[in-house]
Amino acid sequence: MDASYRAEALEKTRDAHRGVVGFFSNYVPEEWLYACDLIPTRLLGLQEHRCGDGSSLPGFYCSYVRDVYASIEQGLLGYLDAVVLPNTCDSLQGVRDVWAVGVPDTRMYPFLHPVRQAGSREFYVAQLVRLRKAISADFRVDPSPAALARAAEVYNRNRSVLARLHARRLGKRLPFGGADFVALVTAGMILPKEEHNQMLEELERGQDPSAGELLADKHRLMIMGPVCDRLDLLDVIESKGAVIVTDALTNGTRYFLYADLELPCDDVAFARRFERQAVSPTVTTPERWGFVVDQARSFRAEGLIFICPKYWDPHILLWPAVRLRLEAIGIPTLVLEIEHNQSDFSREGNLVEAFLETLQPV
Amino acid sequence: MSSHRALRDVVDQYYGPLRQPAGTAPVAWVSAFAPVEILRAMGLACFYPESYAATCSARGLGREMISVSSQRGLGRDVCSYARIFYGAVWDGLGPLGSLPRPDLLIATNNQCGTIPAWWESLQESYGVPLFTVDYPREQEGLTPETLEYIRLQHRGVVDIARQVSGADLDPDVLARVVGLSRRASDAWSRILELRARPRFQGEVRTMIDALFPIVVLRGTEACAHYYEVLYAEMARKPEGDAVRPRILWYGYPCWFLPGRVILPRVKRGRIVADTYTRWWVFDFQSADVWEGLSRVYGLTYLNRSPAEKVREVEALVSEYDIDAVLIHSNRSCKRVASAENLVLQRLENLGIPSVRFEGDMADPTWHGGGSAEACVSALLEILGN
Repeated sequence: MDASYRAEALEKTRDAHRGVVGFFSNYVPEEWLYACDLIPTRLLGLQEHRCGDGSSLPGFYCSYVRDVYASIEQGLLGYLDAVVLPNTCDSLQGVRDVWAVGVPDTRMYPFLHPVRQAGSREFYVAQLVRLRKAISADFRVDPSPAALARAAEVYNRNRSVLARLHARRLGKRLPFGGADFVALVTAGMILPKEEHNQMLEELERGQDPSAGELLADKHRLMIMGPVCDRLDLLDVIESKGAVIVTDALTNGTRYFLYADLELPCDDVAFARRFERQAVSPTVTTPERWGFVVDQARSFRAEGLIFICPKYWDPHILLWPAVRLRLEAIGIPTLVLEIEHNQSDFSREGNLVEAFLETLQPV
Repeated sequence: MSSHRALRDVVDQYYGPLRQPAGTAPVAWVSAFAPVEILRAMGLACFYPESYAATCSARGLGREMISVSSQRGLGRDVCSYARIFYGAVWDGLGPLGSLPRPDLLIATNNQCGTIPAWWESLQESYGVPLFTVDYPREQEGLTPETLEYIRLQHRGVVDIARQVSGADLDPDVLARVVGLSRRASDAWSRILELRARPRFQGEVRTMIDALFPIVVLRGTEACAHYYEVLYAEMARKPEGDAVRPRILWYGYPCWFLPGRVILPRVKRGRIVADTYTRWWVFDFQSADVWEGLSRVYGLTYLNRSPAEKVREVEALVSEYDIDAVLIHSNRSCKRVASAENLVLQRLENLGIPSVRFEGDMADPTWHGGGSAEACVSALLEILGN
């Protein structure tokens, strides 16, 4: 993802709003931030920056988190007025730990989402109330129910158009490749939502669902993993004679499927949405597999590639389960362990090529 | 009775039920800081995958078991306990051979975020119920909402254990089991106080290996008895010469090393304290059993804030009259590592020399090249040895 483009887009719009709030994970209540007239923006890595020596985080933290944190520490994300840090993984919790020393000038709000367990709804609501109170006090804002309803409408519209575009990938023709689709979703995490909605709707209107490249000679793949903003890796996968027809990525289907916010969008509505969303590895629930298997089957995936950045332990330790679960339904799997700031994916390309050779001929 | 004999009882009591044929008694696989008192009170035997991985590493089996995991897709940057344990799951390697089949899996995130996913994969392999207890990592102590959330989940553990074992929880039995954990912890705490004496004679390895019962058998008479016997023995032990420099080891042991830590090769001076052995001092003082369990497991060392970790190091430096600190930056544990910079800063302010080296708790391959030893030598040079 081009960092300068993001900076430019946000710099252009921030003056018309109360500020820009960076965040990680799909569990942060974006709609509430939007209703406060803040611009919620997903924090993604800056491959051109390269986290290096001097970061306050050890080298065995994942390079994605180190990259983002080093960027904040070095003022490269100067447009941020605040950051919401969830407890998604130990690397992010490590960021929270060193924040006060590393970047004392940028406000940081922790957001401890629960796992899905007894009492988790009440706990999610308590965390939401804590977050709301802190941001309301610091930015002197308390959104009205009408503002919240409007925010829910904008975000729900975004999710529905993404879901409709995603559904077009069910067919025998390819409306867009997997890298393109992940780019579409990711763009909406950075661009103002209305602008993104407009772009998506134009795309939807302008595209003939019966057109597109015929997929007869390509293997249909599913990809799974955390945030994948290295779209060049997806390009490499697709250049080997495959097409990514669906995914279970944080910045893919997990962002928009089952994630609508119900009205009235009070605290409980946010908690209920959390209970419905497709989950990250830090939320333990058997519902994870329903989602993954349903995507793989519905989109007729012939194989699954599990992408995991190094040191992202909660993801990589799901790998044995992924393999068992998918292979039980006849879908072979491949794991690709990568560095977020890796310069070249030719090794991964070779592994994908070998994997595709093991699949049944199309 | 000697502590050696008491330890044999512990070993028998831990492994005995695990060696029974499957179906004899329900077995729960638990993470190191799971609320095992609830499970024990309901008659479940507990097996500790992390402790098993540490044992395998200490017996020199780490490399072989890691190699099995690597071949199946768990790369060398994944937690080494998990990689070693999967060597046991996938190829039956390890001293037990085939593992005791679990009837229930209890994961917690009060030590790291890796355990829940690891346990979820184990569930996929064994097809048994899994309960993940969520202990939110608050920076400023536990809020009333967090305490209530933990309490509700502990009740959830009771429900799932009942489904598996068919036994109900007797509150009196639970109170007795918690009392046994408290006895063990109190005795262990007194042992660590003895260790702070300037002329105390005790090797680091002895102290670290003595943790085994409180890790795997909390809440039993055998465990409490072991520490009471050990305390009595250590209190009677003749004192030696006072030594300088006195060094604090910060972080995990290296299980594969004969001494469990890198021992300074000097005529004088030694490691007299470590942070790891303190992790198993629990505060079971609460009058309400459920609140006590919530506090103990909600505030494990690894679930505390970096500020608290810094305060603890300060306290140890003072209590043990420490001259220098060795920081083992364990690649397999991000929770400890995030406080290391703050600890280093604080030590600098206190004028205490310190060095940090990168290593691993169980994977010996990260310990090659002598860089860790070089760090220790550098520290000793600073101290004028």
